[in-house]
Amino acid sequence: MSLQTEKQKKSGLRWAGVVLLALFAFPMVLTALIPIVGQRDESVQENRTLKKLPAWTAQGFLSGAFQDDLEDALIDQLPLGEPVKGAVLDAKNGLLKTQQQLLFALRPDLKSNYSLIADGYYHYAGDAHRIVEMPKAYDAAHLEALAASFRGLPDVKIYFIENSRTVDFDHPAEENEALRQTLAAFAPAAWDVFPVEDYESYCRDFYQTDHHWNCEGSYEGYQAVYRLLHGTEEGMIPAGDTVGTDAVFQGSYARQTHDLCADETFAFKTFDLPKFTTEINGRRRAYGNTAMYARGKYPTDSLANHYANCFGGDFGQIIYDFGTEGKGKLLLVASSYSNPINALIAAGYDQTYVVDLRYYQEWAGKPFDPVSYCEENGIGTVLLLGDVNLFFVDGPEEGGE
Amino acid sequence: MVFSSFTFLLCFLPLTLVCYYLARGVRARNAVLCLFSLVFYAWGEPVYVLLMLASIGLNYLFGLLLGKWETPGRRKAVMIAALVFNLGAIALFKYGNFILENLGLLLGSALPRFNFSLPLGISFYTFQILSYVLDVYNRKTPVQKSLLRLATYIVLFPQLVAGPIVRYDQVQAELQERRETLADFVAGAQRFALGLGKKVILANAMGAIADPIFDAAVLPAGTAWLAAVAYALQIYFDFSGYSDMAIGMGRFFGFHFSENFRYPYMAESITDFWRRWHISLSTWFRDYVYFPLGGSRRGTARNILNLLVVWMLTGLWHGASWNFVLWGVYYGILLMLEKYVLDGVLKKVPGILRRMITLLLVLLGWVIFRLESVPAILSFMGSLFTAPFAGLGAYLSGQAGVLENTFWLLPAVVGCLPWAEWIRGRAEGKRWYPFVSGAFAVIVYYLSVGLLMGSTYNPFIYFRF
Repeated sequence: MSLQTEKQKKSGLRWAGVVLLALFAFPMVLTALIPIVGQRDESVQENRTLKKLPAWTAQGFLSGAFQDDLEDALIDQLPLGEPVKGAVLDAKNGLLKTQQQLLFALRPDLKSNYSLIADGYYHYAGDAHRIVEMPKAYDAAHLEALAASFRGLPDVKIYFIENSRTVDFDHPAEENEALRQTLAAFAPAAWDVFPVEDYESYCRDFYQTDHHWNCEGSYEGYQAVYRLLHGTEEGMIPAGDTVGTDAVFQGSYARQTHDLCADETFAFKTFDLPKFTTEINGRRRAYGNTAMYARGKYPTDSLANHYANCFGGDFGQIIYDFGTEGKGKLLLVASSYSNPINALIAAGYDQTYVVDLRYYQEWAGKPFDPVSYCEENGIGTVLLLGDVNLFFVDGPEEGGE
Repeated sequence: MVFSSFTFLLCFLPLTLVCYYLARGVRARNAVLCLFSLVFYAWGEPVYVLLMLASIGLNYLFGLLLGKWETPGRRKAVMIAALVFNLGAIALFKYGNFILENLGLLLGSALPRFNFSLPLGISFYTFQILSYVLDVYNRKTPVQKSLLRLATYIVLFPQLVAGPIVRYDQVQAELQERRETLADFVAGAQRFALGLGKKVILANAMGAIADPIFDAAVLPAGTAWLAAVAYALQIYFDFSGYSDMAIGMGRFFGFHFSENFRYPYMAESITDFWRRWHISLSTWFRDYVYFPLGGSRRGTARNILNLLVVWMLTGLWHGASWNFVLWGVYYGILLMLEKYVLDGVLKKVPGILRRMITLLLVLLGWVIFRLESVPAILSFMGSLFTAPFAGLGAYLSGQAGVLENTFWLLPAVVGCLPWAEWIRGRAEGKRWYPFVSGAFAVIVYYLSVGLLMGSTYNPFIYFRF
């Protein structure tokens, strides 16, 4: 080989080496961009507040909290992180689905492991899902503490949502123990319940692959809530069209059990609402993406959380302002069940403060004190709306709402 | 801080590299490495960094005294003091509660326990320090008079917490003078990427298969074998991946560490396996324990005793638990059998069969290693050999986490074979080879980073030791 060729080869290799190193360095460069492009507050895709780069403190470092927070923040704030995570998840899910299909093709008898109740995908062999698992013991201490914090407020109402967590489909007529304890602890001014009479009504009002109520169930819930709050049906927002999408919805059950053979289509209702503004965690901006969904613009990746994407995610505080006067103010303490009907409920008031107890303290930096909160904001009516978890469980549940 | 964390990959490593290459001269670069290594250690062990500093200071002093004093008695006293300090620290922090627990059992009453955690990497850095002190004592290596160089050797972050156990004589010259080149850097980056891939892609996937099965109470044989194989693959890719990353990062900084693994699951015998698995540990025990005890030069009985002692200590090095001792003794017995009973027989067995027998014995060894109690080991062995084989399909259909990761079994098995060596041997001089191998490393790197983002399952097994 001539000296010239040898030199060219070496030069080529050197450049190849530099390109290789540049490719390796790319994610590091992206990291350096975080302070420049700014940090994001929350991820709609993941329906959660994102961690931000922590400030260094000696105490935090010694306890290891700083190190943990930094790692979490880097994962959350890395530019392009969300699409990368989505792509990885898609690839993994595609792989799993192929393997499941292959396994069932080889062993059709195993498919039954996925469907214990009718044709719903609610049971996973060796990992019984909670839809068939009644809560064994309620955290009465948590309920009592919650109820105590609302004492002293004159107009506290409760709308309790029965669902698979509190209804034993084998014995649907049995008294709902969670509801009984809740009412005893709160002694509310008024209350109502979203009933699940039997498995058929459950299938009608709830998603097959998710623990939330579907658009039929949630609108039915809204109507009952309106009657509970206003004592009449006058002024109730009528439902518009039900818009079906071709978005494949694999909700929390599918996500938690990794059952990718389970899916359903996603639908929502449209409403003709007066103009209003929303302020989420102190920042004025729109809540939910129903308009985008109506235009056919929604994520198509598998396991996309359409419930949160479409109706809105969970936040410490959302304030609805309809710019009216004389209707009063409402405090709506709720879990994600209220997301699709927040605006509907809020339309009955001048201002509505929606508080999610799971996220309030993280955002506000202090525990939620209903009495002083109502005093500060001039709130006259309080509604607690949610399922058993709202009253008995402290903090976000595993798998996300 | 683990190598597969974003803090390390995206902040610590680039920052260290920038500062390192901005520094001029080996002294300044050693200072940068030493400082960043201490930060690396303090990241996971903010308090134990003081123990590390004390260890550096005292062992520096021991070295100086050994270099200064000529009288055998004095030198021996210093060597004993060094052994007492270093082994005392590891005995206290790693084995303290184990000793108390067993003493309590012997005395029939529970003794109070120490309330401290295991300092990160203490087993690795203690052995590195001992190699220095013992080599200076035996006059195999000159005393290191520069505190900075010795400190850099002890805390050098690429191999600080999970090896390979780099002996002082292997890096002595490079601590003093070394040359970093682009070729070395590029080769190091490729090695690092492949190590990261071994850990993040393969080891984590194998762990996701093995862990839930090992945790299950009743197992059909097929499922138990799947777990045994997956765990063998997990521990190999976990540990060898870490070693690859350490070796790759060493090259970033101009260091050339010895290989720690050489396709161990291709071994033809147990003796061969230990020449391929965690080479830095087995050679350390050979040179600093087995040979000083007399090795095989003092007759069969003494040799058997030496083997048992060495392998019991090897087991104990891995953790303060009886299953590790059992695991070590298991290998001690196998090695004795190979050496004194089966040597002639094994030579007549075809190579492929020898490999399969070795692999089977190694798999069973990992079961002992993985399960902490004797009843659990016996129960799992029972599942392996006496339970009905059917049931794997039903198990997989109900465990999506396990099923999902079975995809990686084939790549993992292929990854244990020396195909990369085979390709390299034939293609290294070819024009396309650097580009293809570079592209492969980049793909592995990005796949690893992507999987890390999409997953939180990321423990390093060898951080426990």
